[in-house]
Amino acid sequence: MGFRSRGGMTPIGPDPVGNAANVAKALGRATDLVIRKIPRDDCVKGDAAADARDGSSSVRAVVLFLEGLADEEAIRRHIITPLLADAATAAAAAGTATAIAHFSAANELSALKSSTHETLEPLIDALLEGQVLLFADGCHTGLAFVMPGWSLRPLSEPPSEKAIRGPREGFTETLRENIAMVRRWVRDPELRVTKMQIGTRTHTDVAIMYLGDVANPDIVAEVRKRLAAIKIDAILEAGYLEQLITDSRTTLFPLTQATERSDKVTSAILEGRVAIIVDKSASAIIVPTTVNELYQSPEDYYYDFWLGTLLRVIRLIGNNLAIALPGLYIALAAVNSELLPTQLALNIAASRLGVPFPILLEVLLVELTIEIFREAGLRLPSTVAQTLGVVAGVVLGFAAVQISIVSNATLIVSVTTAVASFSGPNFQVGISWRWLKYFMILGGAFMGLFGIVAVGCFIVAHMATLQSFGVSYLAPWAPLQPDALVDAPLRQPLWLKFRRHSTWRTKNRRRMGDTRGEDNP
Amino acid sequence: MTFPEKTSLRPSMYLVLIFTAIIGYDMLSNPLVSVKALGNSGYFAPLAAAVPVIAIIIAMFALQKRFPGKSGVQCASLIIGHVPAVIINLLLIIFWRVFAALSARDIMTLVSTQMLLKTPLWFFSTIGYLGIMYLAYHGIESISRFVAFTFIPATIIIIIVFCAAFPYIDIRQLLPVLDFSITDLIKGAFSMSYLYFPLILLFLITPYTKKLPSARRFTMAALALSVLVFLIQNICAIGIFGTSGLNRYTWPTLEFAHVINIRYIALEQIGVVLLTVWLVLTFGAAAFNYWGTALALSQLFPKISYKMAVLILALPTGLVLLLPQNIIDTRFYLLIFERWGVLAFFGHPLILWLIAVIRRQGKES
Repeated sequence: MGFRSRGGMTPIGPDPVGNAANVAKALGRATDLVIRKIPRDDCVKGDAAADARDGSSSVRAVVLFLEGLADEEAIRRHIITPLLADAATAAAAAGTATAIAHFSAANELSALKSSTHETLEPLIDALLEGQVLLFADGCHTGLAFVMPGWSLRPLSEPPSEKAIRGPREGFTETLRENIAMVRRWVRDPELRVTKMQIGTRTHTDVAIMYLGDVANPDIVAEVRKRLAAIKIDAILEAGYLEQLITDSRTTLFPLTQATERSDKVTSAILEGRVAIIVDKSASAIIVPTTVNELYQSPEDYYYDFWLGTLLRVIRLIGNNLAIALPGLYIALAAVNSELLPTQLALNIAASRLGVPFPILLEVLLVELTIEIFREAGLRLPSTVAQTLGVVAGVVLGFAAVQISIVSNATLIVSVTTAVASFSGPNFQVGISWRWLKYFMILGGAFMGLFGIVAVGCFIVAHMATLQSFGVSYLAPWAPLQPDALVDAPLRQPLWLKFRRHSTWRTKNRRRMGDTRGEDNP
Repeated sequence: MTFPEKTSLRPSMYLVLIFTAIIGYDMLSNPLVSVKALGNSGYFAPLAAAVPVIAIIIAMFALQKRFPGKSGVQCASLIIGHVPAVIINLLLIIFWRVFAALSARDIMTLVSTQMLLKTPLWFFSTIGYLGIMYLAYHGIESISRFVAFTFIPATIIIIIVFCAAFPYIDIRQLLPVLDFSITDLIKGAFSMSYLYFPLILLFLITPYTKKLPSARRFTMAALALSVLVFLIQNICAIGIFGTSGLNRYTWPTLEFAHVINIRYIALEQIGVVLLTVWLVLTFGAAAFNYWGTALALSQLFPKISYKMAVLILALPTGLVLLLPQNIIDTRFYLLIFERWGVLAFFGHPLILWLIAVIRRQGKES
């Protein structure tokens, strides 16, 4: 583990409080680390004078565990209660490894899977795995008990971020479970978790997660500053925070990345970004973000280079179709039809014969109808949604073409656009594209191909003015960052991902050593 | 609520910015000028024009080295005194803005004839110019990002289109090679030097970098890349139409792109692809030019903020943009500016540097 590699082995001292402090220090004083001190029997009874007389610690034992990772009820029943019980006092107070083992065997603890260690490092590893640590006064051995406790509610795959391959777990509405989910991925003491409360009435717990030795401290400080600056009575969802900490409050584009997937958050943290998790919200916020990130998915890396690259390219094409296709169709069919091959232009014109509306109105009509279907589809009971979708889509579309309200060509363009708008893994940016599609439609209708170019330039110009926590929104395209650009339209092979991208300005850019396969012995 | 970005202007951005500024200014009609000067060997004209420009670039960087962190406009006050500096810089700004506006008008006329015959020119010119102003208003970081984002795909498409024209070249139209006198070459270099006028922007961007030697190298690389593009383009235009044929067209580059016929491509005319891509570069180049003049104005009159300068320049620029009646008017005025521009755009920094050297002003290396 990372902790061990950074220093030598630390022996466990006789003072349980000191051992606990060492563990807390190693974890960067993580706020999800629970330290439970068990007082000596005479201290419980208030005999502090006796404690002072013999010079020994007033704490008999210390129990440590990470909140959310261990079963707190089991800890209370199997560890805390027996330790506090009179029967255990004598054995535990004796303060030797034998006594601890004896105590363990004499109590219900023997039923649990446990291990003993004489150095701190393996115990920290065990703690990060979700085990419970026990340090006893005068004892140079620490105990680790396996008491998993993180699956409090069934996890499910986020409906808007489904993946063919990869973990099926999405965040839940419990902060500690969500933190634990990330902890389960990153068993590194450098994973920092800082909690704060926002909302004068709701006192909503908000956690900031990042890798202490990787994330840019300026960005972390900026995140803390922006969160601390929020003065609001209630935070009901992560979306509240997104709107309050964004760099630009008027832009259409999401300048933070919201996700319900724990692997996406973990991947972002490992890249050196900062995750913000909000209690009672299944969405986590990742900052900084770039537009490039919004069409990427961790799933890309679960496949090999070829498949991952194909997925990305398809998404890229899908996104571009979703924004530009209807506008381009209008521009080429109505304004600059001389640019189309003759046969194609004739076919489009033929399909529009009998349609009483101008092409702009026709496209807007179909687009608006699809938007209504989409919005209604979200709220329809799942049992009828599919049937109604078929009825609305196929039957209505067919009927509309039959009575020449819309043309076949327009229907093809609009349906392709609607499907393409779902090709990206980020729902928020999909909405931005939907908005911009209408600007493209108007640009194409009023100024043809020039209008498309002009609106496209406006969009890119606007995106060029945006930044997310000090990172250009267009990175790695602009400013040009060749190391990150390799991983932008294509998916960089894992065996070439030696360094973290310069986009995030991380402290530590090294990701992997010289990993050679069989082909390169 | 913003957190400052730390990307700044890297030396590599010089390549992107300078290349876009040069190519985005006049790529479509310059073969006309080159054949008028050097006939069938016109493709040497952009190359010949680039040679003295190297001296100008060196002078501009040398000026920056003498006065670190100061733009050309600010240097002028230190070299020749405040009042003369205000006068010559103001003249430069006016000259520069009018020239940029006329160039923009030329491009808008092109859009009108190629794409939007029925739409009023003022309408789409205003839309386009508002976009340019919007980008310029947000400063050099946004402009550099826009340009960097569009640079790679645009350059690749432009080079592909030029290469696609190779099969249509009649090699006899390019012969004889070197069929000109030294006087003709000098004249050709002089008449084509307007292509590199946007290099005056170096006057203002040099203070944005601390790695001057790298920035100079990348600027030279940008110059070399643009010369290469001009060279290929002139070879294609002259090779396809010949000297006499070229004179028939107002935008010969676009015309030779129209000749290209790639079967099964979705669009009937490849020329429109070239025009579309070039318009994107032009958008970035125009915003960069706008930024240059606005920044120069705000440095000349410190009480005017940069953003205020952008707004102040909007109305006069818009008026000049819409002033010419037609392409003949536009080209007539542009010709005047192209002839005298050498003095303003290249003479200005060169003379300032020479005065600084003679009077031993600034930091001597």
